Amino acid sequence: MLDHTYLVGDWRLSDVERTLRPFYDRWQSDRYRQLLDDFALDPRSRVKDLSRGMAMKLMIAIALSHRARLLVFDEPTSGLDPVARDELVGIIGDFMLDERHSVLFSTHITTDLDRIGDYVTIIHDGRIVSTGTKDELMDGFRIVRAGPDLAEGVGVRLIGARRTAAGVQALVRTDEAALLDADALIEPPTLEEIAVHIGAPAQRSLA
Amino acid sequence: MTAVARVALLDLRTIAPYRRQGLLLLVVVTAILANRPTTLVPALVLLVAPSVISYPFSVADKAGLDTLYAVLPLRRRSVVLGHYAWAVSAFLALAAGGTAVTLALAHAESKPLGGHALGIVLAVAWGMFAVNVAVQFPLFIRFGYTRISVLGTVLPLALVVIAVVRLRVPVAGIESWVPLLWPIGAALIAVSVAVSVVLDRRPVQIR
Repeated sequence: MLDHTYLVGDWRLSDVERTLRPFYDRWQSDRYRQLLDDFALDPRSRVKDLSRGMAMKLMIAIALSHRARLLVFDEPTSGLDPVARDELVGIIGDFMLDERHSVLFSTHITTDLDRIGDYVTIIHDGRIVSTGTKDELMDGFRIVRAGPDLAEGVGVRLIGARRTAAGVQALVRTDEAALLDADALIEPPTLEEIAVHIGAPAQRSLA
Repeated sequence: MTAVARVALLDLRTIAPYRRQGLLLLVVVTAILANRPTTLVPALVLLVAPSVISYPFSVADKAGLDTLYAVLPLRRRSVVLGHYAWAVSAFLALAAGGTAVTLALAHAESKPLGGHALGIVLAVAWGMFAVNVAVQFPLFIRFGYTRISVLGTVLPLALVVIAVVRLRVPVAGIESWVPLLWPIGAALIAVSVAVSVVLDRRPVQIR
């Protein structure tokens, strides 16, 4: 599913069902109608009149109506207001309750991953930086906060270090964190902090 | 239902929201030619059919239906063949409807129309339709409707005019050669299908 619909704008949602049904042997019309109802989508609405969040819900309803077991999204929650985002993440989460179901999605919004991500792959500059379960990722890094004189020591790489007159904040690999000064404050990072530090420009002193 | 028939039906559904405009054009052409029944079928094929058969391409361009074709469980070849099946179905419907109206008008005006005359009219209509489809469709499929609409309309007409003038088609003895338009038209469309299948072998562009 892309971040826009690829349906005729003048189709009503009931037309969408009539049009797509012949292509799927496992299409369930009653499930489609039920999902529209659950998602508060009016079958008489036209595709072009749907908001972005409603359009995403329609695409999910279509996928679920032919019993898809893998959903692939491109930025499903970008551009949505917080309420719509929360609702959509909830719908995806409900879909994943069935163990036969999987969802693969790209996002820049790390709070989505906090809620429904099981496996996370971080891509930076077109290269995979890290991949694995969310827990492995979280356990693999630490945030370090220390005074301004903290420097990269032997065997310790400060990832995306932010230096100010007051101090330094950087991401380090967990197995390297023990090599840092005892004065440094070392904490588990959030996914947001991991993404921000990995994606930060090359280390630059602001002092 | 075969995949090709499903795509033909999808084309019908694609233009279904705009059926009022199509019917209006149909009524206007019929009203204008009501006192010349024999010209009705060729006129419908020349004036109405090009719009009807190309409109799915126009709507598909605007709505990004190439992406829909790509995600539906279809082979690309079925999509191409389906467009042609749609066009031939539209011709048959227009020719059948036009013939019925022609016969009714001829009867009402006491201008008996023999089967021979009707056969000539239908063969000429088929020939014009075949040239139109054979030229337009490969261009639409390769370049899209938006980029080719003017050329796609002008080129078939120009080819017909050039063929009539350069080949010195004997209009006076039309009865002798016009039945050949049936196999020639079918061959033209078959070649066009083959060309379109080859031209369609390109990476799908996600919009």
